[in-house]
Amino acid sequence: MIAELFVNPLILPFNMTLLLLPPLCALVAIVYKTIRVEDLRDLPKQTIVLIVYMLAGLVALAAGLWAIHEFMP
Amino acid sequence: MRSKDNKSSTNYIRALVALVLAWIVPGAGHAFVGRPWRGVIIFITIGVTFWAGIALGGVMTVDHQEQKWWFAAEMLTGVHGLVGWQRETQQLKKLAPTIRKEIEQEEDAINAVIRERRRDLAQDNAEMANLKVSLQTSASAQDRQMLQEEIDRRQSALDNTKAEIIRQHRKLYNLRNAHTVKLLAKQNLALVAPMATLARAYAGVAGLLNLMCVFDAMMLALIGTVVGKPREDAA
Repeated sequence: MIAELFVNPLILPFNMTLLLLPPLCALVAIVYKTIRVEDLRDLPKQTIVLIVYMLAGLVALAAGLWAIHEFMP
Repeated sequence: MRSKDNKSSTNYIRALVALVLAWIVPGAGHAFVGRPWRGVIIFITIGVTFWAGIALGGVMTVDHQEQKWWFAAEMLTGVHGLVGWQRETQQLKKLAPTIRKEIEQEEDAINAVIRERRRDLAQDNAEMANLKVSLQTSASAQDRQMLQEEIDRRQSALDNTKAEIIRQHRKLYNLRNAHTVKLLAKQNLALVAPMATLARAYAGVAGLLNLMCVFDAMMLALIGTVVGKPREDAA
């Protein structure tokens, strides 16, 4: 089962694929903050802040693009 | 002065070692420059990111033939990328005999055309060399003009033959690729949108993150951070 997981692609419905974006943001934030923070004890807090920023940015971008698509002639 | 120079060259060597280590094993560069906990976090996170991509897209997420830019990004993960590449190559090797069987006739026909064109090319090259010698030894202006025209005509034919050989090679490459893709799809190994993008984004982003870590480890080694240990790792 596990071996198959790394051989054949997963088949997910399109809507589900959007759920894979937050984990990617979290992983990017962890690595970025790991090399940026001065004190490792600050890592969890700073990572969460960055994840929130990234997701908020993506949502804002999506809303902006949706507005352009909907309301621009 | 000499001690300063020695320190500087030591730092360059340390930077080079950090660069190689950080590329081969994500996080090893940071461990090398005296930041072991950061190294562990980087190792785990980049490994998880890359293998999450492979879990989503399967063995063909690393595709060195069709997705060259993603492949380059994936190779930045060092050992993870290399293992992914090896798995992909093994998978393609398993499919090779079936593909060969399917396209045997077409492949042989194209190879025959290529061989024929190569023979023409060699013959034309030899004739061209003779014409050039004749042009140099020719005395009359009229002969030289005629020879020059003949050389130009032959050169144009030579260019066409070369272009034809390139076309046939491309045809062969496309034929193999088309059958590979068809067979991969038949065996449920081919990536399709949107999973293809997502899987490659995970694996590729892992590589780009490691590039950032490689650069950071190299800079830390260059400025000699190992001498003054950072406070969180020293604690």
